[in-house]
Order: sequence, then structure tokens, then C-alpha cells
Amino acid sequence: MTETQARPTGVAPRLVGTSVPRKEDLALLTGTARFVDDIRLPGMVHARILRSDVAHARVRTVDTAPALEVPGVLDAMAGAELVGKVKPWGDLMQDLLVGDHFPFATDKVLYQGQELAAVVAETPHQAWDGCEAVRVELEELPAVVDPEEALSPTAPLIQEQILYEFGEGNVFDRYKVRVGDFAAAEAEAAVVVRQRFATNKQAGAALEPHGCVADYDSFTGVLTLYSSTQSIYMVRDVLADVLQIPRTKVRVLVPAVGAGFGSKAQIFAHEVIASLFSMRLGRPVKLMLPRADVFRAGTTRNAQVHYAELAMAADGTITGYRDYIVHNTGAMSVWGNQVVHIGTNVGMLPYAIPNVHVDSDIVHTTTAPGGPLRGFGIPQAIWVKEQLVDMAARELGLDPLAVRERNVIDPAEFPYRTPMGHVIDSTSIKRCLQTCADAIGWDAPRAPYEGKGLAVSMKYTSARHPSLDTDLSAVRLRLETDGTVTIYSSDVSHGQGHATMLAQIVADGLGVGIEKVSLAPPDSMTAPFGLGTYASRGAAVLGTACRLATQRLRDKVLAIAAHVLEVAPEDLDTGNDRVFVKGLPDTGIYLEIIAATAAYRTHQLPPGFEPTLEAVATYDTPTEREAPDGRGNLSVTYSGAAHAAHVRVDPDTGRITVLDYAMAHDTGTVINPLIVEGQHHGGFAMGLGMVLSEDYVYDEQGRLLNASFKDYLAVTATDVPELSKTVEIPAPSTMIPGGQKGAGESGTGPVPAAIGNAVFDATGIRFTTLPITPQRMLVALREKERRGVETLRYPDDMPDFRGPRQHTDWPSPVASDADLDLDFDWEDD
Amino acid sequence: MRPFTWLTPETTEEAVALLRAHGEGARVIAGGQTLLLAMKERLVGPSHLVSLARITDLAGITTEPDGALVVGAATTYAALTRAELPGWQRRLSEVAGDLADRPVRNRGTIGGALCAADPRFDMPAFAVGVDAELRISGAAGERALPAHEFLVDAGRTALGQDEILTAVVLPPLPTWDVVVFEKFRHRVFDAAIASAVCALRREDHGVPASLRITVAGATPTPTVVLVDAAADGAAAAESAVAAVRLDSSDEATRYRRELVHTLVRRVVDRAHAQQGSV
Amino acid sequence: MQKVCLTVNGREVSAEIDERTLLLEFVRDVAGLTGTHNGCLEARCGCCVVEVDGDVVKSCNVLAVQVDGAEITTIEGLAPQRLAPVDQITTQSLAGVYRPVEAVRGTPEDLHPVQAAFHRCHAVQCGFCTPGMVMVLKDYLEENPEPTRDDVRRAIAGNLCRCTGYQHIVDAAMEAAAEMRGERVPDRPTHGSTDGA
Repeated sequence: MTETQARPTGVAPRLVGTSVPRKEDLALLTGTARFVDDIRLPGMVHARILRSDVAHARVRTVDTAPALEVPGVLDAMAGAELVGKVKPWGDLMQDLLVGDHFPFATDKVLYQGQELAAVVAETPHQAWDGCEAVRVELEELPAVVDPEEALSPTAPLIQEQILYEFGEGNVFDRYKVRVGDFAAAEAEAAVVVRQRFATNKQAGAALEPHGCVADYDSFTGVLTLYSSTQSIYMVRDVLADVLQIPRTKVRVLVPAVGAGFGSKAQIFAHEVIASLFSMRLGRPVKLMLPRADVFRAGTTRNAQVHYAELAMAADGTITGYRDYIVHNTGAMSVWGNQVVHIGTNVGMLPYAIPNVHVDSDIVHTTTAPGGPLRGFGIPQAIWVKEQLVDMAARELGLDPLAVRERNVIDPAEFPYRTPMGHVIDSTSIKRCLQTCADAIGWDAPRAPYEGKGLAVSMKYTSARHPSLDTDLSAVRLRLETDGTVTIYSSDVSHGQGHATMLAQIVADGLGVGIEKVSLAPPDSMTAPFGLGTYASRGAAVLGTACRLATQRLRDKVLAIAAHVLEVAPEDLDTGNDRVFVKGLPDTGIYLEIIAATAAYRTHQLPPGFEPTLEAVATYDTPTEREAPDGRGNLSVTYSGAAHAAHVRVDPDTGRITVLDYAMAHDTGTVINPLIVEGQHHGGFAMGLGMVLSEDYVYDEQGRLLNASFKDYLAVTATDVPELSKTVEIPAPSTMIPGGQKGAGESGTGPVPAAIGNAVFDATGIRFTTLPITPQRMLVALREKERRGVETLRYPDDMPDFRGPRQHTDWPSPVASDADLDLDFDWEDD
Repeated sequence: MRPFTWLTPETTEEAVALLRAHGEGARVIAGGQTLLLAMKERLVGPSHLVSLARITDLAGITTEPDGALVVGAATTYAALTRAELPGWQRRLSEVAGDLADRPVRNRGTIGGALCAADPRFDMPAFAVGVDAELRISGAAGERALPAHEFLVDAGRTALGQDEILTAVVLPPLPTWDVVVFEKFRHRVFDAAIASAVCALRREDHGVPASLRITVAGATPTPTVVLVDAAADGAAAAESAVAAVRLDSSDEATRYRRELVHTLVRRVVDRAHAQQGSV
Repeated sequence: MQKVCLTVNGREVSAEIDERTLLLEFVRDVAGLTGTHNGCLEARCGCCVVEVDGDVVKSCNVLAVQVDGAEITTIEGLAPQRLAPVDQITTQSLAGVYRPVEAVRGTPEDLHPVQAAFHRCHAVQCGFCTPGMVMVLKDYLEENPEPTRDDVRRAIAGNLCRCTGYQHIVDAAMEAAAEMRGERVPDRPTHGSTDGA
């Protein structure tokens, strides 16, 4: 199909498509890999942040002077002294940067854990001593934990200083989708199912805490920041702006990163604070966040409340979807606003729903900042929509599997444009669905308290975010003078295995042994500009940039070889570290000779050949910007995931055990099957935590009650079922030259819904709130028994449920339709 | 952590003397698996840590002539797990082998768990459940307390400031015929949300003579529930739920009530179903 | 200050340290071995597991003074450093630094069987939890040579991993157990099919 098919001819086995063991592993397995906390620089000192213990308060006093008296303390700072000296940064909104982030709270504290002051000392103990000496007076204000309460006109105003372009009060932005005519679909539907659903705040909880080492050289003016981050340029550009120094004077280096899942895809206050201290002291400053701080101040999955409706025809065809989403993005966010856009747009897949009507209020609460987390809004959307599909199917007496088979995208021709605007270049989602259902014995009878559930999703492979009109990655390759190859990229590998995946592409493309290909650590001084590692972009977007760069480098190599061998470049091929005349793979010139020629024997180069063996390529996806009506093809291609769960519920303890689980995925052409399988397994585990255990638990004052691994119920090895039924059914992308699709997040999307549907099948209880803890499960079972009903929605059907019970009680969305003038009247429903 | 002085006495007497000498700021440390967590967070800041590590007779298991099992307070869970104990006393090994996780069991001690008096820990529940006796050394001499008197409140024990828990004594084998322990926890390494112990003694013809039910986790200290020796699981569960008085209607309390019911029913039914002394 | 002397991976390390120094900090900052990681400092995540006199402990929850005189084994103690792997100065010998999967077996001159199996089975993603996982599994498999998959899951229940879903870690543990029992581990085809489980 493209240049990838023209790879070397039978000399070395193609590596793309094989489970090459990872080049990264040996350092990680033996303890020689260096993470940011492993960095020790000469004269390095240690900083610690004093964080607010209350959620919402007016700052009366933050006096750091007493801290300076503490032995070992070198410096201390708080917000007031920085006002006017460092620039605020903030939310990405509709091309608009809202400066709601600052290193410290100045006038108000907006969530528990917000930065109040910081101290730097010779040792971490002394820095903590210093923090304890800081004198803080706060005037506590009422907290707003519930996102729907935040909408109330009487709710305390959280962000007082910022006037939002689209929002007001605690609503800082609004989002809507207007596709087709939901009212008409509703009128014609055989059934419309409606339900209020709430989702949880989940932590990325990457095992390596956030942290950095800042090292400022006052003579060169260069600030070097070693940080555990997913994106060097997002950090560099914002940091330079905040400190108001040239971007070329900020160097961001990333050592090994202990995972991120989206929680490290932005700049954080601690990176600014460490930098400021280093600039003030002229010494390297390390600032590692304690685990509790990562929970409190790191970003979380955005919790959402959905008032969702799904219209279905008698034959099971999904004809419409309407939703009003209250999107809780915490006290502030950089990415949180985008989550509802991408999550809703892509979350409509894998169905081509003709009528979609969504309103969303994106609100602040006095809780931890929301942000990206594995799946970026899609697990939330799928949890809602895939449960509604089951509810509608059951109301119509249809098999949930049959209904999904009828509705999943399965066009006669590709590319296929959905009403939402997605351009589907290929998919095997229908086969995935059937395969996973078969794998758990969908048709087999269920034992008591056992049930089975299905869910399907498709997921972006890259994303042109509403706020970022870009979706690019870049690679620079250098054929070194000894025939080895160095890859430079700014997209940080933090578990995905870029060093291996990219090396597979280069090795195949250049005919060089994979052991000779190395990935340089991400470094903003040397790496070409790219957005970073998020949105499952690695294999497809970065991989394509790498493929293009390899092609360009190969062309240069062939040009030199053609000149030396006096043949035409078309007659040459590469393989086994050599360039050779086609058909004679045992002859030819070693790449190291060619590389050395380009560097040290330039007279032997072809006339006019620029003596360099570097090649840069950037790939920006042919994606669209989101239209005002919410339509758009925001991702270059879409991976597919169909999951089938078989669960058992213990009626005495409420424990839900996943007995069997099958995942069938379409990840397009897979570069490294074992790595992709690992991504799916990990994605599943994060989905499992979302549905069964993980949540931020707040008290009424907005204090986070479970900011530790003791209390935050991250899943352990014993909670996860055997995942041996993980199947890949590739439908290679036609948009991406190599056929890849994103792998990183597609394992997460369907998990909550598949298990939620299975729990209903097992118990007749439809959970409307995540997570489904044993506590909720057992109390719901008892409630169902007490009432003697066949089915129960929990907690909405409970006596102490305080939310709206009737559809007509649902709150009206307030998004303006002025510019669309569509018929939309809640009173008619 | 705040600075402290590290003290390593070789005998219990020496340790008691050090506690007395350094007053309120002195704390005993055995494995430290609970204390160090609090110290790292600066929730406690002892001025002196008196380590029991070098007092060799505090670790280990011996049997008294009457069959009582004397477990040194500094015996680790891992050591308990490996011990080969007779009859129902082997429940101690099983309980010790099924709490926390492998590395923590290598450091955590039975005495540490009792002194932490965490309502969700298994060892306090088990000690009360089998009516164990706790031996205490102090400046005023030795004394012994039944486990349920030792545990005063969540996180609080009857131990004086200059006293050391030296041993946990399980009663002789004939005291019980069957001991059953059950708990519910979210994850394998989590502390129990609720737990229940049933200790059953039968008469010669196998007729239940005494049934001791202990509920823990859901209450500040383990609660002993008095029931008729012949009570079946369902009846015992009703009594237990009434005894623990979890009356609030919030979801968490309702859940603990349900768990108490389930666990008590299970332990009692299992105890009755088991033949002989196990 | 207190003098503490530990034998870390066979090397004696002694220092005058602040009593507050955790074993984790001693290993990382005094002995200079940073493969033992600080993931939570609350004895939950298991990234800091090391062996003390042959038993695994969470080194973030042990004071260095508590284990004075002990033998410590860290992740760095499981496999020797590959010093000077290049015996000829040519790029061809780079292949020796990075050997293909078939070559990596748990041998004394190579990796510990658990490490080798982690590599073959792709049980490592970000790698931050890996040293702790490996240390716990090494200790567990030495005592339990024939575990079931469920046994392995319970053995690592005190070690969190957010990347892998644990599946490949359990796979690796089972392969490592077989290799430690002296069984030959079947070669894994690197040219795996992408269609099928």
C-alpha cells in the first residue's frame, strides 16, 4: 500500500509485527535505569511544598519568615511575593488560555492540597521542619464537592477572579453536540430509556510519584529541569512563559518515567517551584511529591453526572442519544475541559447514531484538579451509553449481543463517515464483538448470582483537541559514523516501549540490526518538536513520523551507495546492515562505511550531496477541528474494543468476582504484539479499578479521605482475572501508512460498562454510580429483597436517594442554542 | 519523621527501665510496621525508641506444661506462619499467614498488632476470640490481662507508659474444640472491614457446651457476643448484629451490619460442622 | 547520629547516619543503589522491597538502625553488571549487549531467572514496580517452587503495578518457577501471530 511494503527483500526477517523483547528492559530489570528521584547533582538541595489542609478558604496570612529560622532551611516562598513576577498559566479552553494556575494560592485556596508555601533545605527532613514553621491563617469557606451543587445559584463561587468567555459562576465552559434531530427520533422510537448516571474520580496513581530536579546556571542562564513528565515541550514552553525567560534557555530532560496514564501530561506547580528555588539559590533543587500529594494535587479522571437517554427502534436500531452532562473538572484543570469534548465525540462510537443531542456544563468544584486519564472521557461515556443499550434491548426483549451486532459500524465501504463526523478508515469491531461474546460462552445459561455483560467502544488514536489545532509528532534520525542509528523524539516513553517499537520500524526500514538502533532520552535541546505521549498516539503518529524519517534517511544512504557502486539507487536494497544490489544480499557496502563516507570521506560523496546522514520528519494527522455543532473527525483512525465479562456476585458480602473476561481488539497493524497485549491488560486493570473500587472519597468539607495506597483501592494481582482471552483482530488503518492504531487506552473504555451489564445480568440491579463497591452491591441486594422487586436501579431507586426521580425532574441544560436554533424543549419529554 | 534517640536494651527489665527513664516521649518498637507509618507522617514523634529486637526471649513460641501456648510479643507473622501448632491453635498460623503481605509479615509482630489496637487488625480479634491472656512487664512487676480487657478502645490499650507487652498466651488445647476465623477485606493486603471468630467447646458426646463469638472490625474493640451454646449460625448472627449496635442507617454502617451477620453465620455454621478438635 | 554497618550485595557499607534514616534511604543514598524505589513510603506499593538476611521486607518501613549488621540484597545484587561486554572494538559486538530473547536465560553470568522471564514475557512496562516485584518473586519462588497462578497472585498482592494488569507478571513468574526447578523453558516465538490469543 505504501513505502512500508517495499522493505528489504528476504534478507532479514521483518521485525514489525513481531514480539521483539524490549530494549528498555535490562536497565529496568537490574535497577540501573535512572528515574528522577535517582538523580543526585553536586550541591543538590531538597524542597517540600506546604499544602492546604482545607479545601476552600480565603488566604489571610502565609508567613514564611519563621521557616527561614529553622536549621538547614535555605529559602522559603509563598504566593504573594510572586504576584507580578511569574505569569499564571492554565486551562486550555477553546484557543484561550485561562490563567488560573499559579505556583501557590494567593487570595484563595480552591482545593485541599493546593500549594501554600514551599521550603528548600539541605535535607528533606529539614525542608519538612521548615514547612511546619510556616505560619498560615486561612478563613475556611464552604466546600463544593458535588458538581451538581456547584451549579446552584446559591453555591459558593470557587474561581472568583476569572471571567469566563462561555461560562458563569462555577460553570467555566459549556459544550454541546447537535447532530440530527433527537426530538424526532424520540417521537418515532419504540423505546426511549433514560437514566441518571454518575462516574467517579479515579487517580492515575502512577507508581513513580511526580517529581523533578531543577538546576539553574546563572552564568549561562540555562534552567535545566529533569522531570517525570509525558511531554517535554508542554513543560518547557509553559515553564519558560511562566518564568518569562526565553524558551531556548529552558532545557527539559526526562529520565526514565514510572508511568503517567495522562496524569503527567501537563506542567505542575512543583516544576515551577523547584525552578524558582534553583534560580534563587543557584543550586540544584530536588522536589519529589509524597504519595499523598500526588493524590491530592495530581490530576484525576473527571467525574461526570449524566442525564442520558437512548432511543431505539423496535428492531433494535439505535436512533438517537441525548445527554446532559455535568462535568466535574475539579478546582482547576489544564486538560479537564477537553475531556468531555473528546470523550463525547469519540464516545458515540462504535455506533453511527444519526441523532445526537448533548449539552454539558463543565464545572468547578473544590476538589482535586481533573485531567486526562487513560481513556480521556471515553470510559465515562461508554459506561453510560453501553448500559442504556442493554436497558433498551431488555425493554424490547432483544438480546444485547444481537442489538450490538445490528448497530456496530460495519459499512460496505471505507472510509465511512458517521453522522458525528468520524471518518472510519477500517474496523473489525463486529468481529471483535462476536469473538469476545463467544469466548465467554454468551449463550450458555447463567448460574445463580452469575451474569454476563458486553460493551463495545472505539477509541481515538490521536487527537486534535478543541484547544490545540495540532496533532503532530516528530522524529530525527541520525546514522552515526559507525553505522549505528540514534532516534531523537520528544514523545516520552513511559512504559510503552518506544525504544523498541521505533527501533523495529527503523531496523526494517533501513535494513539495520535492531541492536544498533537507540532511542535518545527526551531532551528539549535536541529533540524535534512534538506534542508528547498521550492519546494513544505513539505507534501511529510517532511511528509514522519515524517511518517517514527512516525513508528519508534510507534515500540518502542509497544515494551515496549508488554513487560508490555506480548503479542506480532503484537497483539497490538494504538489509543486514548493508546496502546491496538487489538480488545479491551477501554483497554490498556496510552502512558504517557509508556513514563514515558522509562524515570523513566527503570527496567520495555524490556531487552536491550535503554531507550529513540525518533526517527529520514530522507527521501531523489529517484530522479536523471540532465544529460548533460538535461534529468532527478528531482522530486520524479509531481502534476498536469489544469486551465480554462473566461475573459472580457473593450475595452475602457483595463481593463481585470477575470469573472470566474476554477482550477482542482492533489495533490495526500491530508493531509488537506482546507490547500491545500488555497495553490491553493494563488498560483493563485501570478499567477494573474504575468500576469496582477506585474513587476519591471526600467529606463534606472537601477533605480527601483516601489519599494513600492504604485507602485508595488500587487493584492488586488477586483482583484481576486471568486475561488469557485477549485477542487481536486487526483491521489495518488506511490513514496511517503502516496501518497502526492506538493501543494504549482502548483496553479501558468498555470495562466499566461490560462489568456493569454483567452485574445487572447477575442480580437485576442496575448500578448508576461508580464504583460498584461490595458495600453498594450488598446494600442494593438487600434493598431489592426488601422491596420484592425483580430489578432495581441503585442508588437512584433508594429511599435516601436525593436526586431527581422522574425524567421531567431532570435539570435543564443551559447551553445556548442561539447560534443553532434547534428545536429543544425539555417540557415535551 | 522527627529526630529520636535509638535505644537497644538486651533485657525486658532494661527496656522497662528505659521507658520509665524517658517518660512520655519513649515508645517501644518491635517490627515497627505500624509505628513507623505514623512516624514518617509525623503523626507521632517519639523522643526515644526502645527497640525490642535484641531481647531474644520476646520472640518465639513455647508451650506451658498445661498446654497453654506462649507466643512472644515480638514474634513475627512470618514466624507464626511457619510454626507447627497443634489443634485449634494452628488457626494462629493461618491467621498470621493471611494478613498484610509477604514482606510486611516478615517484620510485623503479634505484639505490635495488639498494641496498635487497630480495630481492623486480625490479631486483636483472634486474641479476644480465643480468650487469650496478655502478659505485661512493667516497673511495678508482671501482670496479665485477658485480651478483651487489654484492648480499651480503637488505638488504645491498658498498657501503662512504662509497661511492655511480653507475650500472648493462647489457652490450653482443651479450652476449645473448634476455632473458626473469618474476615472480609477489599484487597488481600487490606485490613479487615469486619471479622468474626467462633470458639466452640463440646461436651463428651459432642454436644456444644460453650460458644464464644467475637466480632471485630466493625466496632472500636473486638466485641464478645454471648449466645446459647447450641445456637446455629443464623441465630448467632442475629445476636451478634444486635450486640454490635450498628444502628445508623448510612450505607457504610448498613454494610458493616450485613457483614457481621454474614461472617458470624459462617463461622458458627462452620464450627458446628467440624468434627473433633480442629 | 548512629553508626550502622550493613552488608549490601556482599559489600560492607558503614556510615554514621541520622537515626531516622530508612533502610530504603540507606540503600539508595548511602550504598548508592537506586534500583530500589520509593513509590509510596507507606509500605503499600512494594517498589522498595529488598531482602534482609534472606527475607523480603519493604525497606521504606524499616529503619536502617533496626537491621544493623544484616545482609541486604537489592535488585542490583541479582545480576552482575555486564562490565566490558565489548571484546572486539567493532559495532558487530553490540549484539552482545543486546541479545535476542532466545539467548536470555537465567544463568549466573546472565540474569536471575525471574529477571530473564520478565524480559521474555514483557512483564515490564514503565519498570518502576519491577525491582520490588522481582525481589518478592525471587524470595517466594525459592520457598515455593511449584506455585499455581493464584499462589503467585497472592505472593505479589503487596506489590502494586499500574501498567501491566499483572497478567504478564504472573506469566513470567510461572516461567521463572519452571526454570528455577531446572526445567527447560520453551522458546517463545518472537514472530507472534497477531490474530489469536
